[in-house]
Amino acid sequence: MKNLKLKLARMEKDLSQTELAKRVGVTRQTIGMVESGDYNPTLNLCIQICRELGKTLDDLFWEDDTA
Amino acid sequence: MKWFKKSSLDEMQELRLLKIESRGFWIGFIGLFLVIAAQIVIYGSESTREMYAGEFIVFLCMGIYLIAGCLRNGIWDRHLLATPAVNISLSLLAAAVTGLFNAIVSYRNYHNATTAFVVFIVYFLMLSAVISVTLTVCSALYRRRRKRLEEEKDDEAD
Repeated sequence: MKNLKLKLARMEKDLSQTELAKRVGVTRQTIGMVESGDYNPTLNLCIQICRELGKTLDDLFWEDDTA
Repeated sequence: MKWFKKSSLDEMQELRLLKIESRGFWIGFIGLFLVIAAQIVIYGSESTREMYAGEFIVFLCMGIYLIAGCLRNGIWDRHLLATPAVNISLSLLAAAVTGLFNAIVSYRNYHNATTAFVVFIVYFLMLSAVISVTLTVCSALYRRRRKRLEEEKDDEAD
C-alpha cells in the first residue's frame, strides 16, 4: 500500500526524496520504495524519517481501518 | 585512500543483498548436486570418486554449514514439520529417488535388470535407514535447542 502521508509530509517540508534520503542516511531508492509501499522500513528508519519531517509515527505510518 | 567502510549499504539494500546471496547459495548448492549426478551418469562405469571429490567436499561443507547454522539457531524449515511421520516420509522419498538413480546408472553400465533391481533395494534400504536416523537425531537436537532458546531469561527477569 502506498504511503501517501509520507510523500505529503516530505513535500510539505519541500524536500526531494534524495534530500530526505541523505538526511536519514539511506539511498533515494529506499525512500522511493517506502513511499510506494514496496519496502517496510525498520522502526529505526521510521523514527528517523519522522524526526526529519517533524511528525509522529502515528502521523506517517499508522493506517486506520476506515482509511 | 579509504578502501573499506563498515557498510555502505542501507537497510533495504542489505536485505536485497541477503536475498541475492541466499539465491546464489542455493544455485551453487543445487548446481553442485547436479554436476555430481551428471558426472556419475556421463562417465558411467569409468566414474571414480576422485573425479568428483572436489565438488562433493564443497557440497558436503555447504550442507553441514546449513544444518549446523539452522540447528544452532533453533530453525527447522519454513514449511515442513519436525515430526517422526514427516521425517520417515522424507527418508523413504529420498531413498527411493537415490535408489532409482543408482539403479538406472547400474543398468546403463551393466545392462542387467536383476543387478539394477538389487542396487535399488540395497540403496533404498540402506539410505532410508541412514536418512531417517539422521533426521531423527537432527530433529531431536532442533527441539532441544528450540526449548533452550525459548526458556532463556530475558533482561527484565528477576
